[in-house]
Amino acid sequence: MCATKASVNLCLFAMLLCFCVGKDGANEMTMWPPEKVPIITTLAKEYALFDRFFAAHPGSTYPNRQFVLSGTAHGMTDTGNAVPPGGFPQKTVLRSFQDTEGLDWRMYAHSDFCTLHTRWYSVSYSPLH
Amino acid sequence: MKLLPTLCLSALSATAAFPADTSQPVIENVVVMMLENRAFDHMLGFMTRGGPFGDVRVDGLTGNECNPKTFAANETEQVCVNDEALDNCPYDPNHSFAATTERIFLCEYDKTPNSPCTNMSQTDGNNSMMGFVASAVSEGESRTACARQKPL
Repeated sequence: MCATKASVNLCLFAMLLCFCVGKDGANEMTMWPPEKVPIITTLAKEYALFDRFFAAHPGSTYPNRQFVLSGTAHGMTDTGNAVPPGGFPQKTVLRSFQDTEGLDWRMYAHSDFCTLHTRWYSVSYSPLH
Repeated sequence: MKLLPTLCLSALSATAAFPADTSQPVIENVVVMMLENRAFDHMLGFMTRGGPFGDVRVDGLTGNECNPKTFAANETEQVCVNDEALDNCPYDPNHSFAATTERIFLCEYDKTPNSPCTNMSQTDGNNSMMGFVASAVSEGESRTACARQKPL
């Protein structure tokens, strides 16, 4: 069956497909029992837990970040879509609080971020250009 | 899309705007934590079981939730929720707009007629959350870690 070099390669390829891609989809329905994640479940019990919420955008990272920051993704549907030149034009929720209520705020980020994609991120009031 | 664990923290100092009410605890700060790429039910859904780390009041899982294995209308095979999640997800679940629409509405993106998969402005589709398994199967995903090594 695997007599020629070409067919050997084909066989190996088929074996990889067979053994490595089960296509069972089973991972999608696997959850953690609460005792296996005791820290986050304890946090949930001791503090507030949002267990009824709605996604503004059924999709990926960047548009979701824009929604949580500013209530719109300005038409972005997926991470990787182009960001408008100069940044998203809409004002962030926090900036609106600052303007209308005089509240101060600060944003901390661990890695690359979202906030820099809007013009109105800055504590120092200056638009990003 | 980028799926490395990322975290955004916003701290809103709310001391200025709220009137003093000595009968209630005064909230000085609200901290919002955004943690990506784990579903609520995946992390906390089985808190409904109660026990020392659970709480039966949580709007989580009944344990009876199942998804059909494929998009086929006559599909009879199902995959149901269980508490056997691996410590690490064996693959990076696709959560593009297209894949998420498939998962929510059990339709094939760009294929299923008269559904949110072909009419993005249609918001009254059957948002049954029944397409997670079928969408993953259509993408060749399996529970085995080996799925990562599929040949290019």
